[in-house]
Amino acid sequence: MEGEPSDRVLLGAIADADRSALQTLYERHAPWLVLRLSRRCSDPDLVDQAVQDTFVAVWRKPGSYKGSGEVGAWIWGIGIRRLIDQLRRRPALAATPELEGIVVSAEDQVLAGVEHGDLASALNALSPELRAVVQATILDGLTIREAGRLLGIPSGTVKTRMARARVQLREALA
Amino acid sequence: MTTVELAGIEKSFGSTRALDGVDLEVSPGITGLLGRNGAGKTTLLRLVATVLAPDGGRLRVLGHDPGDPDGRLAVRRRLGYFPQEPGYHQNFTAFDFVDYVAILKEMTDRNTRRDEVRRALETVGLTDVMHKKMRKLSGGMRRRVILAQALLGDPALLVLDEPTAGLDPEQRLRFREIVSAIAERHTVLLATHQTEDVAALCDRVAVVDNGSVLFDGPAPALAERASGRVWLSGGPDDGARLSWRTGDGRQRHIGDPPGGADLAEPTIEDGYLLLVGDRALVG
Amino acid sequence: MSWHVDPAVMERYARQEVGPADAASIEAHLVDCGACRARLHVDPARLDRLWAGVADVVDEPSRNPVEALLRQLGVRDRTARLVAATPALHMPWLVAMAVTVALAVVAATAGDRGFLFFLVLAPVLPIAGVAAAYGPRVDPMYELTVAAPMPAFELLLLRSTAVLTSTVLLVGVAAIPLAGEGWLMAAWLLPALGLTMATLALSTVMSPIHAGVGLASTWAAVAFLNVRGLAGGDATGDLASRVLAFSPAGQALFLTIAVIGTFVVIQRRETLEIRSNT
Repeated sequence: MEGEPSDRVLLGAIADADRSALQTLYERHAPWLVLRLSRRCSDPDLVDQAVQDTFVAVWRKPGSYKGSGEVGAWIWGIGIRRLIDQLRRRPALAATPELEGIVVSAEDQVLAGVEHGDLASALNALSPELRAVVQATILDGLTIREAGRLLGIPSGTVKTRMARARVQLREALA
Repeated sequence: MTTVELAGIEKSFGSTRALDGVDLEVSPGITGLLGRNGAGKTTLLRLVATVLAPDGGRLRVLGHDPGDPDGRLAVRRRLGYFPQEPGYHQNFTAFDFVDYVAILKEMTDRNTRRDEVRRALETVGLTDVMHKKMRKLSGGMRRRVILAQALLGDPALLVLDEPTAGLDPEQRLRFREIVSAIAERHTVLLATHQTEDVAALCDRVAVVDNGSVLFDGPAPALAERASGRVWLSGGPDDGARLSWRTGDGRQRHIGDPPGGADLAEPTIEDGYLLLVGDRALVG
Repeated sequence: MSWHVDPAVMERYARQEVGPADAASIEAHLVDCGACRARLHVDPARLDRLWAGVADVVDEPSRNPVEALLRQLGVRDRTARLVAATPALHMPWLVAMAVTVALAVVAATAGDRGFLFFLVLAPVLPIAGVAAAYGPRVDPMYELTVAAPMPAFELLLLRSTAVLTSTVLLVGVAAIPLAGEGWLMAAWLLPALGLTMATLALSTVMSPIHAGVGLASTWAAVAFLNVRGLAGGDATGDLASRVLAFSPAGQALFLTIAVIGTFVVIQRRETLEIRSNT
C-alpha cells in the first residue's frame, strides 16, 4: 500500500478529470462495496446497478467529499443510497431473514480477532427484523426514512422497531 | 495499386503559383513529403484531402475523382486528415473533440461512436486523460488528440500535415511509433520539413520545392543522390556549395569534393540539401 | 491499523457465511483498512463488467447547457452537439445580444426615433449570428469540417436555423413592452428573414463575414436615408410606418428576398464544400 496514491489524492485527480484515478479508486473500493451491498439486498442486478451508479456519482461530484472521515465511508454513503433508489424503483427483496439467522460460534469470534463479548451476543439475540433496523440506522448511517425504504417498511415501523431493539439491547447489556 | 495520382497538377492563389505541374504517385506505406515552408506541401496535401480543388491537371484519390461531388464524398469517407494548423473549441475535452469529428464523419449511433472515439484515443495512448480539457493538455498530447480524430473509422488514406511540428524529440519519437504502427495496410502521406522524420518513418519520399517535385523515390535513394558529394574536414572549404559545423567540431560540406577529401556517408538530409541548395538553409 | 481480519474469515465473509455481528465489525473495519480491502475476493468477471458499465456512462462528451436545452426540445444528441458548437450560441454572444436588444427596447419606448432604431437594429442580430456560424474565421475546426463527409450545407443550415430561432425569440420576448404599437412591433421580422437568407446566399460567393457586414451596413444606410428629411411625429410608430422597409410593400419585398436567397443557397451549396480562405 505504500507508495500508492491515497484515496484523497485519487479524488483530487478525479476532480481534475483523471480517468485512470477513477479506475484505481474503483479497483480499490468496488469489491467491498459489492459484498456489503449484497448483504442488504439479495438481488445481484440491483447491487450491480447501485455499484455502477456509485462510481459514476464519484466521477461527477468528487467535490462532495468534504475531507472528513474516510473516503470509504463517503463511498458507502453514496452506495447505500443508490441501492435504496434502485429498491424504490424496483421493489425487490431486501436481505432475507435467513441470512441474518446464522449463529456465530465462539471460535469464529476468536478468529475474527474482534472484541466481541456482550454486544455481539446481544445483537445476535435480536430478532432479524429488529437487527435489520439497528444495522440500517446505526451501522449503515441511514435516516429513519431511508432505512424504511431499504427494508420496505414504513417509517413508523422503523421507529417502533428501533425502540424495541433499544429496550432489548439495554436489558441484555444490563 | 496506387492510392493517389497527381498528373500535371496546377494550383495558384491570385498571382502566386503554389503548384506548377506536379506529378506524383503515392502507394500504400508511408510516403514523406519533404520541403521547406512555402514549398507547396500544404497545398498539395489539401488537394489530396479534397479540401481544395486543382486549377489544372488530373487528380485521383482512392480511385475517385475529387472534382466530382460523389467522388469527393467517397474520398472523404475513407480519409483521415491532420491539418496544418488544427484548432479546437476552447472548452472541448479530448473526448469532445474526437466525438465532434466522429459526428462529422457520419457516425450516427451514439454507442458505436463512443466506442470508436475510445478506440482512437486508446491507439494514441490518451485513455487516461480523455476527459481533460484540450487547453490543459501538453502540446504533444494535443497533437495526439488531433491524430486520434484522423484515425476514426480506420481510414484507408491518412494525410498528415506536419503533425510533429513544435514537438520535442521525445514527443516526436512517440508520435512516430504510433504512425508506424498504424501504417500497415494503410497509405500515409506525411508532410514534414524534418529529415529525421523521413529517415525514421518513410518508405518513399518526395521532395517539393517551389511548387514542383524535385525527387520521388525510395528514401535511401535520396541519400544515395549525395553519394560522393559529401565530405568532412577540420575547417571551412570555399569550394563547397553548402558547409556547416557539426556537433563533433568538424565541418561538413556538400558539393564537388576537392581531391583527397574524407568522403562521408550521405544521409537523407544531405541528399535533400543537395537538391534544394542554398535556399534550404535560408527558408 | 492495530489488527487485521483473518484471511479465512474474510473468505467466509465474501461467501456470505458469517453472522451479522461479525459482518458488522468486518464492514466497519473495511471502511478504514485498505490492506484488508485488497484481500477481498469478488468475481473478476463481474468487476470488469461493472467497470465497463461505469466507463460507458463516464465516457461521454462534456455536458453543455445549450446542448441540454436542445435535447430537451427533442433534438437528436448529435445534431445538438453540432449546433451547440456555434459561436453565436455561446454565452458571450448571447449576453451581448441580450444587452443590445434590451437597450434597443428601452430606446424604443422613449419615442418614435427610438422605436425606429429598434426596428432597424433587430434584423442585424440574426445577420451577425449567421455570419459567424460557419467559416474559417469563426470556426476553429473549419478545415476538419470541410474535409469531413458531412455536407457543409447541412451544418450551415442547422446552425443558421438555430441562430435565427434564438435571436427571433430573444428579440420577440424583449419587445413585449412594445405591444402597444400593434403589428409594427414585428415589422422587423420579415426584413430579418430576408437579410439572413441573403447573407447565406452571399456566403456562397464571399466570406460570410463580408456578406453580413455588407448587408447590415446597407440595410442601416438605406433606412437612414429613407428617414432623413422626414419630420418626427407624436406617436411612436409614426416614423417607422413611413420607412419603406416597414410598409406592406417593403415587407413583401423582404419575403421575396428570403425566398430567392433560399433558392440560391440550395443551388450553390456545393461551393461550401471547398475551403475558402476568408
